[in-house]
Amino acid sequence: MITTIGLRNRSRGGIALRAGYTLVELLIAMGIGGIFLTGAMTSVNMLARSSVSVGHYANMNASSRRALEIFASDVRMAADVVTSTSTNLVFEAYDDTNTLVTVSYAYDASADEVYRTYDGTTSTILTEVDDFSLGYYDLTGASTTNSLSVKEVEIDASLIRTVLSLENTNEIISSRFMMRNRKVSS
Amino acid sequence: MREFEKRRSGSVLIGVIIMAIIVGVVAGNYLKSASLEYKLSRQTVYMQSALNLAEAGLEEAFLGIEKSDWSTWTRVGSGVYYKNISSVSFGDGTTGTVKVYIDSSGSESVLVSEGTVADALGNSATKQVFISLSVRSLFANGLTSKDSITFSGNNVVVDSYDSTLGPYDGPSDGGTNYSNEGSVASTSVVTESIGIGNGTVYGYAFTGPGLVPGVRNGYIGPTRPAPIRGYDTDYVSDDFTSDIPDVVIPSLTADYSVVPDGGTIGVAGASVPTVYDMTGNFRNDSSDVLEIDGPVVIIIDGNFSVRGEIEITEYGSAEFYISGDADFGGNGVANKSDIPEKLMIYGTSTTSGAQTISVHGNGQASFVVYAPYAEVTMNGGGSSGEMSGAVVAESIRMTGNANFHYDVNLKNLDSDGAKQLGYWRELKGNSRIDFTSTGTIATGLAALVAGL
Repeated sequence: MITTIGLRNRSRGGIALRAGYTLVELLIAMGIGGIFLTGAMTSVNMLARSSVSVGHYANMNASSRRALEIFASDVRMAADVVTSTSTNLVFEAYDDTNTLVTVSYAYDASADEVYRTYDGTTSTILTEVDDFSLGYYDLTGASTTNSLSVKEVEIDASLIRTVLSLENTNEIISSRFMMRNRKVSS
Repeated sequence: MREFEKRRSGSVLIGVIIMAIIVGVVAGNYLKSASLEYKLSRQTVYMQSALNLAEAGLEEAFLGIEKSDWSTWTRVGSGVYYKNISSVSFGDGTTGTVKVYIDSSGSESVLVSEGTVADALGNSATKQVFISLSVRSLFANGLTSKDSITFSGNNVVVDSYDSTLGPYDGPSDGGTNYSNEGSVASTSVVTESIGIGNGTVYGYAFTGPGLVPGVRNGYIGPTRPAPIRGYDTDYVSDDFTSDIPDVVIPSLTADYSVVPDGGTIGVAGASVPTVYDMTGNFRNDSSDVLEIDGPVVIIIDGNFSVRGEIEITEYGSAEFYISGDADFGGNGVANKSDIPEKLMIYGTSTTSGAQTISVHGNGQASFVVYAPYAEVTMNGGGSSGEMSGAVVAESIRMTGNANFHYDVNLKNLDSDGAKQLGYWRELKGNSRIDFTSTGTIATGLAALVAGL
């Protein structure tokens, strides 16, 4: 019988023994292994984080697109402005049946949400909103704080999502939506 | 030993597979997110583009109206046109289509436009917009000036009423035909372009950018009786801009070259006006009464002065085109119809400040003044000082006890044939029109108009 043994194998009493590693060898091996393992775990962790972040960005983009589409559609139909502050806009707009209804957009900083109230029905159109402001412009394009002069509205918002203590933010700066049905002073 | 080595090789494989699965899941998530992002952004772009196309279609119709050129349109009926533009390319096989339908057979034009964007993969977005175009009035405000509006003295009051409901009937007489839309507006960007002093404006004040109206002890706003000093901020804005075009004297064949000082002119019930084209000054003395009993157009290349009276009967209407100074004193112009648009006074001067138009004495009158280069003064005193209508001028001055009542019906006066947007609607859901054929469009449009 031919017995093949490793370099460190010893034969004792006819039994082939595999030689053990020295402590130094084990420490080196464990160190190298640890480094590789840490690297692998870090990579996996980063992959997981970035994967979730991508999902968050996609989610924020989708929700902001949807919110802006609804907002733009409402504003285009606006006939009159009732209230125009940096966090609250109330206006009268025509609905699909050509009836004037009251529409409002309001930011609740404590809940980090933006609400839309359309003809008495309230819904949340943006969640986890870190910052939100509305800008108003008159017919000449100049910024205004006077509800009587408001012809265009702009949204400036910051959405935030947190994953594994990492914050993902998405800044929205909309174009200026014109109140096409609103007559101003000219 | 071989089996032992095989197991070790297997563990590596399993490790690689696990890592591959993790990487695969992450990559799949990336791809899914990227795909979703692409689809959403594509749809957003398509929707925006479709809306832009629909509005571009409306612009095309505006051009047709402005130029009265329908040569590239399909005539559907009298005043009804249709156009289909299907050659808009967005590249990469994505195309846009615009369908526009305009019906201007009625008193106002109604238009509906559909914009569609579609790509080679079958993705698409469609938007529809429905608008109306109505006449543009040059008299959207009671008093409009290019330069300044100044009230001096006490008890100058501006408010409003609706001439379709009868003559002005204010609260002091227990009346109901009055309102708080007596707007005053100036396009000037000079400080205190509107100075109401101790006067009262029951309505709005519109200034140029960055300005506020000057108020001494006067008031601007809706509260009656007026509180002393100040203005309601909801009734004042600084965004006023306006085109004030020059007067165009109509090209008419003159029936007479002299306007008589007295007597009766005009033909009651006539459908075309009697035209007077006079070179020289007109002066009506204190004993003269000129009665206008039908539609007349009076063009005067000179000064115009009333010391006696001009009376417009219920059948009469007058358009004055005056190049020089105009003075409505004495008993002034009595517009018995109480409808301001039946007495139109156009100042035709094109030299800044070279023309003055004055209403004073017992000049109680309903009139409309349009004189872009004139100084218009309206003085109180006499037996009345009550004036109604609207004034557009380079500068306007009102003095003590002059009351001016803006006729809100003048917002609908077709002044120069120009159009303005009446309403704008994006059609969504069930309110959309079927654009399959001009017949279905006409049916849908009729339903929309009926629903307004």
